This record gives sequence, C-alpha cells and structure tokens, in this order.
Amino acid sequence: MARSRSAKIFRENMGTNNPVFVQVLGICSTLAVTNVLKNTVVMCLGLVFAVSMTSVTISALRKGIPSQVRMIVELLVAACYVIMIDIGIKAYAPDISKQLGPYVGLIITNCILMGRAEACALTSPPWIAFVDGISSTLGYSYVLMTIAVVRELLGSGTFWGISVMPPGWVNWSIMVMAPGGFFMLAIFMWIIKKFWLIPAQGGATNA
Amino acid sequence: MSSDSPARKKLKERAWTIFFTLAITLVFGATVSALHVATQERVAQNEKLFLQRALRQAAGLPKLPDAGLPEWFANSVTVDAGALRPRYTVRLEEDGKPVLVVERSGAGLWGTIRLAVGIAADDDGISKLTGIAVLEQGETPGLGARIDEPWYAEQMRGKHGTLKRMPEGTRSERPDEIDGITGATITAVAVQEILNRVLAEQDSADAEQRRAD
Repeated sequence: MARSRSAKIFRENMGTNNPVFVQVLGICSTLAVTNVLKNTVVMCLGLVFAVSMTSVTISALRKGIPSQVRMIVELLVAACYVIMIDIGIKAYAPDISKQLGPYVGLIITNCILMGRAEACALTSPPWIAFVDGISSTLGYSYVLMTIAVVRELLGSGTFWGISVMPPGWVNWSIMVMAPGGFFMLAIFMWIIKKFWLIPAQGGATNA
Repeated sequence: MSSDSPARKKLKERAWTIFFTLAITLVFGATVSALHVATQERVAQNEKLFLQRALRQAAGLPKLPDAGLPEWFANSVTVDAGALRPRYTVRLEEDGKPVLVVERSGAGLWGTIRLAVGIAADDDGISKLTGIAVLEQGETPGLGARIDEPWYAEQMRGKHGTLKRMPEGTRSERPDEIDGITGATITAVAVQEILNRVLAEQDSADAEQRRAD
C-alpha cells in the first residue's frame, strides 16, 4: 500500500503534478539560475537535499508541531538545512560558492520547500514525505536543466562552460537575461502541455 | 486528560507551543552553529588561498599549486599595513621591478565589485597594468559575472593611460583599449572606472616622485 502510494506520488511529481510546469512553483529560481548550466545543477542538488530533508524532518515532528507555529517551524527547519548546504559548499567547494554568490541562500525562498511541507509532510509519514520531497525536486530539476542547456547554448555558445558553437556564432544575449528565462519556460510548458499532458488527459480541450 | 477544564487545556497547549518552539530553535540553532565552528578554520584557509591566488594573477604571475601558495606569499609579498586600503608589494622571481597590487572597489549592476589590480613601472618609467583579479562580485551569471573569465583579466596586461572600452572581441593591441562585455555594459564600465582610477592615482604618484627626484 505504502509502496504503491509512494510510486504514484513519484510519477505525479515528475509529470502530471510537476511543480514547475503544472503547479508553476519555484519560478523565481527557474528564471534566475537557468542561464548557466553549472549553477543550475548546484541549485537543483541543493534543493533536492533541502526539500527532502525538510519534508522528512517536518513529517517526523508532525504530531508535536503546534498548529499556530507550524509555518515558522517549517521555515526554521528549512533555513537550517539551507545554511548547512551553504557552509558545506563554502568549506569544500569554495570556487562554486564564489560563483553562486547569494543563490544558495535563496533556496529558502523557493516555494516548493514550503509547498511540499504544507501539502504533504504535515500529514504523511516520513517515508512518503521523503519520496514526495525528492520526486518534486527531481521533477523541478529536469525541467530547469533542460531550460539551462538551451539558454546557455544559445546565450553564451557554451555547454557546461565549454565552447561548442561553430565559429562565427553570435550569442543571443537575451537568452542569458531574465526575458530569455520567461520565453524558454513558456515554450517548454506549451510543448509539454500540447504534446503530452493534454493528450494524456483525453485531449478534451481546444488547445 | 478528560478531567482537564478548557482553561487548563488551553494553558497546556500554550506551554507546549512555547516549549516546542524553544526546543526546536535550540536544537537546530546548535547544529548549525556547531557546523559553522567545525568548518570555520577551513573556510578561513580557503579565503587566504583565494586572496593569494588573486595576488598572483594580479601581479601577472602564472598559477601555482595551492600547496605552494603560503610559502610564496610569505617570501615574496609585503603587506602595507599603514595604508587605508590593502596594498601589497609583490617581488617577482626574476629581477624585475616589484609589482604593486592594490584593492579597489566600484559599483556594479547588482552590488560592489572589488578588484585586485596589479601595476608596475616598465623600463621607461611608465606605470602599466600587470593584471587584475576579481575578489568580489555579484553580477548576472553569464553576463556581468564574465569579468571573472580568464580572457577578461588577461587582456589587461600592459595596458596604461586612460582606458577606453571597445566592443567585445576587438582584442585591441593599443595600450589604452580594452574589450567590454556584450550585454553587461554597466559591469564593464564599473571595471573600466576602477582601473582608470588606479592608473590615474599611480600616474600622479609617479609624477610627484619625479619632481621629488
């Protein structure tokens, strides 16, 4: 029972209930970090860790958390995990820490964090909360990485910092700026919805 | 429990709320603090190595493995403790004139840009840039943050006078022309202004020196 429930949650978070293109959460970071693939990957790893750990912790404490202070407790737990990531990167990967600047700290403002804690972790046992946390952030990650690959390729002519475009290629600077993020996200959502989500739901739409 | 009056039950709930909040704050606060203290030394060490790497780059010296940096710093760099802003004198391995490395900052698009700028007089007494290194910046990744890319710093070597910005990719051979960054004009202007300030200050210091001689 628990197993099938976790499998269902996993599938939903990756597809039909994806946090980015269905719930439209975490959009600020989708726009901000996806212009350079390396930063996106670190941001995604950070979020996978922060959300899954926060969800497990909140779920383990759920019976004791007084309802009046539940959101501040969620925030406190999440903030601590985010600071742990920040300290870890500063100590063991100082170059990445310099490059990311304030981004790691901004994981705390990602709506998926509080969203999963409120929607799932407060009412589910730790294992389910963990699967929910990790799958929603993995669902977030593959969308962001896809967008980041395209933006970095078109905007800087590079893949993972390595120049791959033919000589004479002119960078589309707009792709690296915030509007490029909006365009790419909208195109991504449109493709996913048109060719996958809507047909999967029976295609009952005029889209 | 059932014998509790509503007032008593409410009191208990409140007490639990306060206790729970305090306890969880203590536990998580202590964990984060412990982690901070445990990695403090490592982080400070990373910062030192970062500065030493930056000094070498600004002085126009080739990269050195991290293990060799502290020894090189101890032997070849003098820190001017009396100066308002950090100033370092870097002695070169070969018998050249020492390089002066100064720290200067300016306003970028999102925040402060802090650079280490190396400057040295050539045989004719003209002060020229030996290199720059970015110590601090929070510019847009992929645009302004590209001032951190090697080509950007390397093009500064040997430049002097009042620097002018050319379109990215020009790679001008003229001593007073540097490449800007497409899509990051504000950042490129900030760096240009910092460098021009350093060059102007050094030129007037040189002129004063010549008068004194």
